[in-house]
Amino acid sequence: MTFIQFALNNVKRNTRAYVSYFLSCMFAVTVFFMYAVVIFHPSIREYEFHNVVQSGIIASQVMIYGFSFIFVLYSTGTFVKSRKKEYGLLTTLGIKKSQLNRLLILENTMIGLAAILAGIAVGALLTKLFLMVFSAILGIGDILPFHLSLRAIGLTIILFFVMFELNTLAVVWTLRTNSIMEVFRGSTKSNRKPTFSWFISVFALAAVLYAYYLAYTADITTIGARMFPILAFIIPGTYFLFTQLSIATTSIFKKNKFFLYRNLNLLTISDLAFKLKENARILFIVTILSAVAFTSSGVLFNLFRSVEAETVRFVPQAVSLISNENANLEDFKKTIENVEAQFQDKFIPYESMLASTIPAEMESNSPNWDTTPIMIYSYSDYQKMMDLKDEEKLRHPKFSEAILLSQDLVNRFTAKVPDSLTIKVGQTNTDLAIHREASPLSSSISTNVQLIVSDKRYEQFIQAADASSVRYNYVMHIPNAFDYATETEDVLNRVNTEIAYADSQADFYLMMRQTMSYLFFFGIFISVLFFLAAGSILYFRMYQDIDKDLKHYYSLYRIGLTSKEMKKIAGKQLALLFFLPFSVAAIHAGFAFKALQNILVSNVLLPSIFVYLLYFAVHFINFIIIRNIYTTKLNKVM
Amino acid sequence: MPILTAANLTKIYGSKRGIHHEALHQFHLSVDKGEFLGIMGPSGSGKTTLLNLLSTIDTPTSGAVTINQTTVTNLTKNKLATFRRKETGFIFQDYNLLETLTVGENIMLPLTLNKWKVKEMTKRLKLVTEQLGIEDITEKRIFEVSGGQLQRAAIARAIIHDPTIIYADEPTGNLDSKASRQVMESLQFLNQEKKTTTIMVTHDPFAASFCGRVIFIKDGRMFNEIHKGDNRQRFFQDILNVQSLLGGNMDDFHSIRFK
Ligand SMILES: Nc1ncnc2c1ncn2[C@@H]1O[C@H](COP(=O)(O)OP(=O)(O)O)[C@@H](O)[C@H]1O
Ligand SMILES: [Mg+2]
Repeated sequence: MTFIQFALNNVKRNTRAYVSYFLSCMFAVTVFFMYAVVIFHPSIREYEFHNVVQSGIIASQVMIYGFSFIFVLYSTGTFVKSRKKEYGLLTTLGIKKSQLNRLLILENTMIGLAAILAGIAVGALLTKLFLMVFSAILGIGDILPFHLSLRAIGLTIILFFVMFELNTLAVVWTLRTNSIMEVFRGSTKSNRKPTFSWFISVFALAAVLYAYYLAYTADITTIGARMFPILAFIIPGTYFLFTQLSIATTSIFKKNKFFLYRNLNLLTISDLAFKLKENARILFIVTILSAVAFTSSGVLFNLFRSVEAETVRFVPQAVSLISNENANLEDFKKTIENVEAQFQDKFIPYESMLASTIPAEMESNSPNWDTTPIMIYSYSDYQKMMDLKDEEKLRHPKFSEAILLSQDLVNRFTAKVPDSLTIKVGQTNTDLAIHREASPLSSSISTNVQLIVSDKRYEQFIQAADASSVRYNYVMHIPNAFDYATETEDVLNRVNTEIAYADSQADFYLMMRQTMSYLFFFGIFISVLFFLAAGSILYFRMYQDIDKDLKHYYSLYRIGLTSKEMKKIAGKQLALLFFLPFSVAAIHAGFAFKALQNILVSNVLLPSIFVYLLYFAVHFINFIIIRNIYTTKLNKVM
Repeated sequence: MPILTAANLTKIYGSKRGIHHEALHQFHLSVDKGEFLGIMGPSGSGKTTLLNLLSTIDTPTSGAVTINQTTVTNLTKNKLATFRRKETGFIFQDYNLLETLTVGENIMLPLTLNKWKVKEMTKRLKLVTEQLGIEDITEKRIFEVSGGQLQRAAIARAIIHDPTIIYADEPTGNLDSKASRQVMESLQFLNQEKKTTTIMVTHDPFAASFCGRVIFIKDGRMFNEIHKGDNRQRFFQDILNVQSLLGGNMDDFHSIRFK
């Protein structure tokens, strides 16, 4: 028998351990490859994403590779651990260290290569399936046609081949440092009593609560700065929550003898304490993966749904056409007529009006407000513009007053307005008392700050201003504007920019929706991948443990535990291992949704609940399947 | 009066490839109340198979086992499990103690399953551990104590609920001679003082010499049966004689098998 034959036979005989190891490796490849297929897709690569989004996409890929690495390393670890006895035996039979190393490297390379090929095949299949389901359910149309790029395949093969080889070397290296005796003892000595530290438990809880607090109170001005601290608290917090606090909790249960010795509690709780300790890292990874899945799909689903509301928030008026500096009134009026004619041709209902406005500048001692360009409107024009949208009006400003309008969002980022400002129109300066309000008007190309003054004051300004500097603002209101977005954009695109500057909800809306649907696609895609990963990790874990569990339950069977009781214990433990990370992840995501709510105008509650329910349904089905596999195996013991 | 009778017990193991193996062939046995019965035989002769059938852990291919007038071979799996936890106690070569529990919790396990009151449980625990001289290790964990102590803990667990019959499969198989003696003396004490019926499989003639009667099996059939007179040394000699008559490898590697 040659050495290669020996290695091959070895793989054939240890099927259970190999299958589980192979599947977990394959799975890691599948996830990475699916993502690679999408980001190397021609239409994604050519799409011009915002820089932030672009780096986000790459960051996700790096993250997936990182997680895969940890997962594969972990799988290799358990795989080798479960076979340490065999290595010990080979060593005592006189296999040379170099031969054993060669055996390990050969084995792992074979499994790695097979996993890469199978992973790519499964990944291609699943991507196709995902694209089909995605466009079918959301009706966004064919967002991406199916396409496998060679770059995705190449990258996957190279990166994972390197990963598997590094992994094997790491394993060979750790085996070398262990003495043969340790190798021989294998995985039997793991059953130390679960211990914990109160200090770390309390710290973990505090870290998580603090992160929750940061998310809960975040708003649009602070969320950017808080993002990193939140992650920095929540991730280690969650880790110690599982490694420490979970054991602390079961220890408290154990202290209460009256509870502990009742019926099955003794078995359930003691087992659970061990399972929690052994699986703490797994539970942590699963929680983070699920939390990422919930958060990204929830946030992006909400963003996707809030496009209309956000459009209205950023562009309050359906259409506004502002005459250009050099354009004369005649040309401008012609343009308006033209636009109106086209709207009528397309049967788009609208109401409109023409306002006049004076561009001016403010002066102030406060440097934030000095030389700020503004547009001045008379109160009666303002009134008409509000009437058009059927919106409530602010009270009439006194002669000595002005209302400063700027976008709600801008207000939060800019310095407080001084009580009075100097308005410079033409050559005259006028001091006015200022009240600041959120703007119900779209911003124009020159400024996003408007000033409303009394009609009398406006008259005065008109006199002072250079006659040619007075501008006109043609404002439209379109009921159900979003239904006519494409047509509206079409019409406005034809407006001569020499004459008028057009600003519309349609333009903003279409751009937002385009970006959002790609982002949404990515969000859901990553979520599904991560969620799948989380579920499978749980599955592999169960699969790896099952021999040990079977032995355990056989012991219990012999002293008279009924199969019903066994199923009850196993079911409870499995349920906890499944739903504990799910619940923690759901709470984490809940606070992320709260932060999102603080940023958005539209209500995120219902979409978030929808996302939760969807995940819960999938997770629950997953749980039922795995529980059934598990209990069928248990039944074989009896 | 027999407390346990086995009639026509046959066990055929079938493998997936259709190879059948008859481990026990039309076996008859009757055990009296308060008896201490030993079962001996070469490795692979069917001792564990027989004990598993008698103790309801496994079901026979044909034949019947009756314990205390109940034909247990007719009971459902669930009924059997509850029967086992109430009426029987088990001692195994591998101790069959759970690593996740302390020694004391392991011993109390049958009581928690039988829904005893906590006060009663701790009282019982104190009693049996004192009887077996392991009262100091109840708070310890399984991997912290020696094999002899573990086996006595297993005995404590087997008797804590006052079972009708105790079954022991190679209870001294993993122990040195000093620990073996302690364990056998404990079993003998229980049998003599408490009149607990005990059925024990062993390949160790010294352990077997504590029994009142020893049956020998070979290839799944009864081979011989000897009774202890009033001299234990004589009995020990007799056992050795039958063993040499039987031949075969008496050393047994015990392993758990799943069906
Ligand atoms: N679960 C099983 N499946 C198949 N064959 C078995 C099984 N258990 C025992 N045997 C076979 O039945 C015979 C008797 O086994 P066993 O009762 O364990 O013997 P002993 O305990 O006397 O050493 C052996 O030949 C053994 O290989
Ligand atoms: Mg045996």
